[in-house]
Amino acid sequence: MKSGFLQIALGIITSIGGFLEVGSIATAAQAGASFRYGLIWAIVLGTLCLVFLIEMSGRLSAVSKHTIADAVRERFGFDFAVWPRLAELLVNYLVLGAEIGGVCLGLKVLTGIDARWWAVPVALILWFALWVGTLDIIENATSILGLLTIGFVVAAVKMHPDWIPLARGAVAPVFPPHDQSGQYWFTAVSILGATISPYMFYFYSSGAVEDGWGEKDLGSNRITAIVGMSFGALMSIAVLVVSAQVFNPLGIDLKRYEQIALVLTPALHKWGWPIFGISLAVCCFGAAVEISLASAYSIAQTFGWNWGEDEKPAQRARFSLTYTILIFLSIIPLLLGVDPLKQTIFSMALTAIVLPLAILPFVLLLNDETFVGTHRNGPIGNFVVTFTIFMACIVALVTIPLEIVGGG
Amino acid sequence: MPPTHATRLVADILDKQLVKGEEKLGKVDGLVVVLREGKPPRVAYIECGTAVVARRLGRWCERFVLALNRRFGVRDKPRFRIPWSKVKGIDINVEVELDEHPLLAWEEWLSKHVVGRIPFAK
Amino acid sequence: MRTVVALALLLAACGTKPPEAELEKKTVASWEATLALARDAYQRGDVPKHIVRNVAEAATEEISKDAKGHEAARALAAAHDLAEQAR
Repeated sequence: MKSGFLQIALGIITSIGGFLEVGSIATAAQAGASFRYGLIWAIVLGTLCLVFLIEMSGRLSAVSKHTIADAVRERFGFDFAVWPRLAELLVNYLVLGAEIGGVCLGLKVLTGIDARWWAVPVALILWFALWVGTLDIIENATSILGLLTIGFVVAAVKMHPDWIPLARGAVAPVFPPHDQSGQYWFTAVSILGATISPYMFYFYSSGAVEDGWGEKDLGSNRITAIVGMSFGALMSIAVLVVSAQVFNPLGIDLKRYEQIALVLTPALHKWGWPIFGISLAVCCFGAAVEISLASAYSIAQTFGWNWGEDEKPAQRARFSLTYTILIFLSIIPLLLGVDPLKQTIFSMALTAIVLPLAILPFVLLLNDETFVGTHRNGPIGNFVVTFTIFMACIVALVTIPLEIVGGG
Repeated sequence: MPPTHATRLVADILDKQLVKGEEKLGKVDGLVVVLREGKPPRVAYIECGTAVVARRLGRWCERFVLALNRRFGVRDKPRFRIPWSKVKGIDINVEVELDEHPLLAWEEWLSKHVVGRIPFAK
Repeated sequence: MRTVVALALLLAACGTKPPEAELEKKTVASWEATLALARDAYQRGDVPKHIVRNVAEAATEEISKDAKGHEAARALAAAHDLAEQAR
């Protein structure tokens, strides 16, 4: 059985892939630049919901020995399960393309070579890492590299933020001037949508089953969920704070990643741009790993195929081919010149629409004795899931009109 | 066996993972139930295959899958029936004992002809 | 939460988008500040040439898309100068 640190590594990689990917970094930076500390509460709120949902994913998998996709098909039938799976596949395809685009943007920051040139090499490296790697290696390597993002926290502290307004922004909305309301709420909704990504649950749940978690791991599952997600949230808030310190006083409205690349320079000087470039590339790579695997897991588990990252591809032919095809198809928009940032924003809107459908099964499965035995949700857990579904529906309904008024 | 028992049986088997030992064979995609006069229904076979799930989505879907299978199929029939007598146990998974079956035909074909040809696959 | 969201919808519905001219001014000002930030960093030796080039190119693309007029022209000229410095 794995040691505590290695288990937390699953939590950290899940978290990095969810919190510090191309969309979240951009949204956090934009929030800081445009509204200073006024949107930290959105990250906090999203994180709280996420901690509960991730803990539930782990608990379901540890007790029932089923992954979410598996359990959903079994409990609700193929006729229900197929629709969310298809919707998620489409969304994951777009998000994966955006994340690979994020890696390419990171490499552009480091080398000056245009993002499009990096698309095929990055796809190949991603594919190769999944093809020959095992889940352990991937989890640990990404977690360790991801620790670089602590550079954002260092920069945030170095720039001496005003702690009181920061704290105020973390607990409640700080209403902006009237003409900026649309943009404020659109950014808030984007942050919530970017934070709670369904692929995180499928990845975490499959990792838990593949790592052989059982009832004795429920305690560490809780700790992993809290520590892992808090780590990601802290990094995300750090990005927002540094951006608030650097861009807000200068009246800079962030529209392109080339601008965001300057964010660490005032605090970290000549270390600023390489740390930013590497962090962006590593985080987006982690996200790409997570999405590729989550998609392949989800399909394989719905159809009952053999699946697993630890076995050789030849023993898991259909599973391995699924992520292979997905990865190489996903770079098509990037090669055609679509801007990764615009692709992310578009796919975040789509995610918002799929989200209620993805979380709804959680309410039923986590209260079903046949799946979780005596480890059913308590009233707080049920409240949080219901609240999140409600919030997800609002996010889904509101994203479109706000996009028109606020503008992404 | 009272009808309620039978209904729960269907709900408890359908869409469960089908295994032979450690190996995953697929999902229980369908059940063939024999209706008998004056007696409760009896589960005769477990059915597996893309055509079976396609049928659950609609006749149009089933026709489409059958057409694809005629053109590109690796298996003779996209539908396979496992007699109920072969079911050894029902727990988290449905465990069966089968000697010969085409359930992993695609997996084996892809493993041999596609995945196996790519370096580092084994 | 419900009140907050209802308020958001209400604000979105009756909140006005600032007039075109004002938006253009903001865009230009934002990019001018970005160019200044990049220039200062370059002169301090904190960023290499390609970062500055990236910023100048992005600035040129975005300003040309969104803004026209005297201020936009000035900003484009600044972007061009910066690109030259970092050649």
